Amino acid sequence: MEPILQADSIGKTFRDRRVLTSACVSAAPGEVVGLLGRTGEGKSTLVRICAGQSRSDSGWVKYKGEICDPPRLSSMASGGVYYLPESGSLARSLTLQGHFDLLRERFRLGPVDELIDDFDLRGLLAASTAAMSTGERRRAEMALVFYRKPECLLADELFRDLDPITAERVGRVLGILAQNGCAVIVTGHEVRAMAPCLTSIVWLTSGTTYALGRPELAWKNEYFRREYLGPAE
Amino acid sequence: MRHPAKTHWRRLWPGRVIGLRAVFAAALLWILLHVVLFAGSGQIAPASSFKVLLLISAIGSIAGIADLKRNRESIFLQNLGVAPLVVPAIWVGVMMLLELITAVVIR
Repeated sequence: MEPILQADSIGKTFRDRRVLTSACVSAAPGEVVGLLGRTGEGKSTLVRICAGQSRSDSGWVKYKGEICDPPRLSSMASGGVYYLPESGSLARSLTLQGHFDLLRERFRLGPVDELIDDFDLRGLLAASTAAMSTGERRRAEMALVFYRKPECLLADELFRDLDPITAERVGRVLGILAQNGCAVIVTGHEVRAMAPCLTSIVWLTSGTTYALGRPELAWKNEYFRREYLGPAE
Repeated sequence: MRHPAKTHWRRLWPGRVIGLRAVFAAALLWILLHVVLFAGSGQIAPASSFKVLLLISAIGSIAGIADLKRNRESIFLQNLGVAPLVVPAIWVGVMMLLELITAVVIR
């Protein structure tokens, strides 16, 4: 299937440190792509470039077959992209209910009641998002993503600091989104938690990417095991 | 069906809560600025000059960007399809408007 979001030949230098030389990542509808790599290899940078939060020095980003020059999240979001940065995507000035209301107004979405119960968020609706724990924030963010029904989700370090049950729940939501035709690119190091929902793995190392295919194939890749997973996996 | 122009303007509006908060905060800052900067010189509302308008818009944009960062609204607004610079633009717009209205009324 044709990728909905595609980033190719991305290069990025921070001062005199070259982080990305020629990195590529793409996701087709129904795919959950795990962008894996060691700390400092540029996973977040690559996702930020795809989401229009950082400019690349070279390469291009294509969304729905059109080159975004430069990529702008606000434009791509109207066309179905949703970005979850590591630092969180909730506004401190709004309650969770406020977030749902704005999404409903903007994209003319349906009622949210059932979703709130599914994600166990009833008690958090009126709460300030600043007062939520990491797990609660992630749950709230996933509920908002689920409500928005994006065509492409870019999620950076989505599984970080989550307890096993919440991580499993987040993974399940990613799976459902993909089943509904959403293309997902997710980064992180929590390989065990991420593995069940991933359909393919892209390994980012030394500034470039390697498409390793399905997770079971990636685990068998000796180089990937030695350089990233380590002997324990 | 909505009129296309109406839809376009809706895309620029960051929603009632964020938009109205920016409007009221900008108005409050404008009043404070006049009290602090100009009351000492015996003028609550000086005749607006180009320099004053420039100063007001510079302060407005800095305050608007600081407000956006403090409340971490940028990513959510972008996910809504709203350019985040709309918030500082509201601050500048409100402060300039108040300045111009004051100048017209005093003259």
